[in-house]
Amino acid sequence: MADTVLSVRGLSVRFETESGAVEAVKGIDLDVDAGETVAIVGESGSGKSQTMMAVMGLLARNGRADGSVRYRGEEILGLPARALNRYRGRKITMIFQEPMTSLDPLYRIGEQIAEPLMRHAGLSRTAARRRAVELLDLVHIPDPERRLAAYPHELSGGQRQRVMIAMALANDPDILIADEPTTALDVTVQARILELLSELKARLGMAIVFITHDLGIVRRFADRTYVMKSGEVVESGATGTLFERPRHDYTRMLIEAEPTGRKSPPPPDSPTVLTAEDVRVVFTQHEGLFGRRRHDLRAVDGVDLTVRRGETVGVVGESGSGKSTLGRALLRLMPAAGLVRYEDRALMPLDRAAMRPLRRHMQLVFQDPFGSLSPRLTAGEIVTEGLLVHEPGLTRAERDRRAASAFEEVWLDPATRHRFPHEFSGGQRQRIAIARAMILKPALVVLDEPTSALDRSVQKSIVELLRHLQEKHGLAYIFISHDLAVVRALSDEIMVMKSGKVVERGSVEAIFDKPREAYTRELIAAAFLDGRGVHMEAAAGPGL
Amino acid sequence: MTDGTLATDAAAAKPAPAGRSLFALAMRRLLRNRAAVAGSIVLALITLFCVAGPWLSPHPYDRVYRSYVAMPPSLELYPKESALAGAMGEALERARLAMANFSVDGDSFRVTLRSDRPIDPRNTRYIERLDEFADPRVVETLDDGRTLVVAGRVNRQLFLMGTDRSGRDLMTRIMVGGRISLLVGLLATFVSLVIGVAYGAIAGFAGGRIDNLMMRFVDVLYSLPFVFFVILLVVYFGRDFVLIFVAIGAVEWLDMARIVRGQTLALKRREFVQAAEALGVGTGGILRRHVVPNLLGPVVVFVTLMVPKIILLESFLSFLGLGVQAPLTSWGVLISEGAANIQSAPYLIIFPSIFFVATLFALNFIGDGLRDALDPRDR
Repeated sequence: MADTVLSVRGLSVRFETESGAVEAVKGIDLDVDAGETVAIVGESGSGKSQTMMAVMGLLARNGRADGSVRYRGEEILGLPARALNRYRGRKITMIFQEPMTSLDPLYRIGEQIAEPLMRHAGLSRTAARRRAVELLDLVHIPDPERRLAAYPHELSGGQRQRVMIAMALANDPDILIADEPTTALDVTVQARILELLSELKARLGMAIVFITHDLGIVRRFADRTYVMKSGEVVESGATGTLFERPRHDYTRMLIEAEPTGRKSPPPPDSPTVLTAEDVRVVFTQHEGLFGRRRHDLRAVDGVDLTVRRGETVGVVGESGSGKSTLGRALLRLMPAAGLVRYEDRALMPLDRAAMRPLRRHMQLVFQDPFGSLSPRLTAGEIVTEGLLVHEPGLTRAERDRRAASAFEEVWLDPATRHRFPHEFSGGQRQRIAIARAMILKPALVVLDEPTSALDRSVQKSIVELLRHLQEKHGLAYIFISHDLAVVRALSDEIMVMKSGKVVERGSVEAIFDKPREAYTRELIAAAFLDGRGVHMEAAAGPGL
Repeated sequence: MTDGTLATDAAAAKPAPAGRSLFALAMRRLLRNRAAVAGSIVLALITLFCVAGPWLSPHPYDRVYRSYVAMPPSLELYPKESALAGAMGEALERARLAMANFSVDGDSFRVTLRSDRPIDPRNTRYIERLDEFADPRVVETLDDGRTLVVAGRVNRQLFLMGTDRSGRDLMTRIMVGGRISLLVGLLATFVSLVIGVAYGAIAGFAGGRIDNLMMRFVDVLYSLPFVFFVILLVVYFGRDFVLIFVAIGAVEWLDMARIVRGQTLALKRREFVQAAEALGVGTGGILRRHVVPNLLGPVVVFVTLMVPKIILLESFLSFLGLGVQAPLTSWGVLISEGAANIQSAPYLIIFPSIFFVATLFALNFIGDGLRDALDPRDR
């Protein structure tokens, strides 16, 4: 083994909260050797981020770290900020999940890269500028000279993450800690960022600590892996061995958490629930001083779609491809043009009031289970809100009984219906959101990325729940997602969207086995599907 | 990943029969904020003092004690022993009687009056008229009525905070003034709260042209000079206590409407509002169940900061002479009177100011505490 650059012994992190002390990390050991990639995997709440926050001395004010963290033999845990800064930002650097908020929106990219160079490394303005150009070139930002003058909002998410990486590399660090660096990015962008990281690692010889919940990434990039569960390392070892022969149940569960199985196709004679022809959504932006210049953005551009009873149509695409907008346009939650029919009624000519009675047949489940539940209502009140509108004659007791049975239907304890949303975990909240849609016994449910904000193991149970509900009630789903693994497990037919247009559509087998478009192939390659029933070469990349 | 998630997971795992609402959690956080708790206690004490005080006080707020004009605050009882003989002498001089043998024994006095002619016993009124003495009665008539012995009580009074330039008890006046100031603060806030929340929520939720129209109307009202507006109201309707609420409330709801509108615009884009729309909930239901309850946080905070602002505004109006009418008073009036006598009787401005400042501090601390407690980032 090469020399150890970072060695963590018996690290524990405690947070003083209102409801007593919470031990986020419970005495873990961890080593990082020079030039290797170490992954820390775990679900949310496992303490994987807090471990590295403690190493960097970035814990929240109510947090306390104990134990030992040595950088090349020197103790750095508990150093005062001034002493810690000799390592932090120079030898050990960190990039975060959210590239939108990690850059200061008020300063140009060039200033943000050059400023620490001038302060820490004592470079002159011109030297710092030259180095900034070099760094941007290193992270493959095209035309770096000109990009120096750009503000963060002028860059895409992937470019912003590249800038963050460039800043982290500025002082030739030994260790780069990457905390879910690609979670907020589109799958294809994610793949390119990961390629960049492994290329940089090979060129600069630094160690990378990769914090992630995504096992696909771990498998491709990490030399060694630590699996964390509720503050403890339950298993560690070389990535290959760990994946082939997981010893701990939790590791096995994580590996198997990828949604598997397929849904059975609907009967061939099942009736059509919703048809859409040539749906268009155009956002008009007014520019100029008095808004006289008009600029049309075609978010959805002539999409046709048919869903039958018991059928799932998967809509995939990157952010900005118009897939969510399409879902809302179909439910008339957004002004749109074209033709949409529910059973035999045309929806487009209906106004808000005329739509209202139809709403119970067409429901929507959102991506973010934190944002889609009103924080001041109890879970039971949230679930039964639709009944207030569509069955106003129900008494309070009847509504409560219906709420309890709706909770049972989504595999939640009915006794918890008097709690408030913030007292549930992410997966439970998403079930509440599903219960809210299901209580009205709809014919069609638009699922807008219902699993994207959840951990893999939770995703799996949500996917199973959705499949179960579909079978039981013969629901039609329009399933919007960028996650091809989930889409594959749920859909009969898939539409691939790009810039508002459908670029490819077909059955699941056709799309995954014989993708025609380059864009589709790129999406599939980027999703790191582990090859169960799919081409293996798509997952092979430079990191292996 | 954060401790917050851990905490919620732990809370979700525990079997609890009923949930703790966000509001209940916020209250717990508020109770842990020492400044806010101290502020609440101070405010409660001041409120109790102002509401119950005048009933317990021995002095009516509009009673004028001619003998005790501009008396400095004192723990001793008035009249002072040394002043008694002088006061009696002056009273008898007014009655054109001579004083002989004045004695005080505890709470009773005895005075012997002399004159060349027989004295009319009704002359004791001159003594009674004084604030120092009470119940004078003739106990002995000598020399064919040319000498009277009069006995009575010495009227001992406490003026803890002194008296004002008209000889009224300052403490009682502070209590009564506090009633008015707090009442104006609360009622005007309530008026602006109701109008502002309804107006702002409707404008924000309706959006588009309606929002534009409604907010431009607010801008027009904003551009009216406040004092001019109040003077106009006073000229038309005469000076009236209710008018103060109306005037202040009519101006202050503009701020509230703007804040509520902004919050509503942000809330409207939240997914739970869209979810309600997808359920087919009408505008009224969305506003009532989803928008207004979620506005509570910022609105409650704004209210606690608005009450002191309105108390200040009322003081300003009273200072200009457009507010409450004498003998009724408010803290603003008291402070304005105190300011006029700041050199001769500084306590006249010190005492009302202490109460006023304490109330403002308390309200601001409570407001800050509420803001921290309700901060959504803590969720």
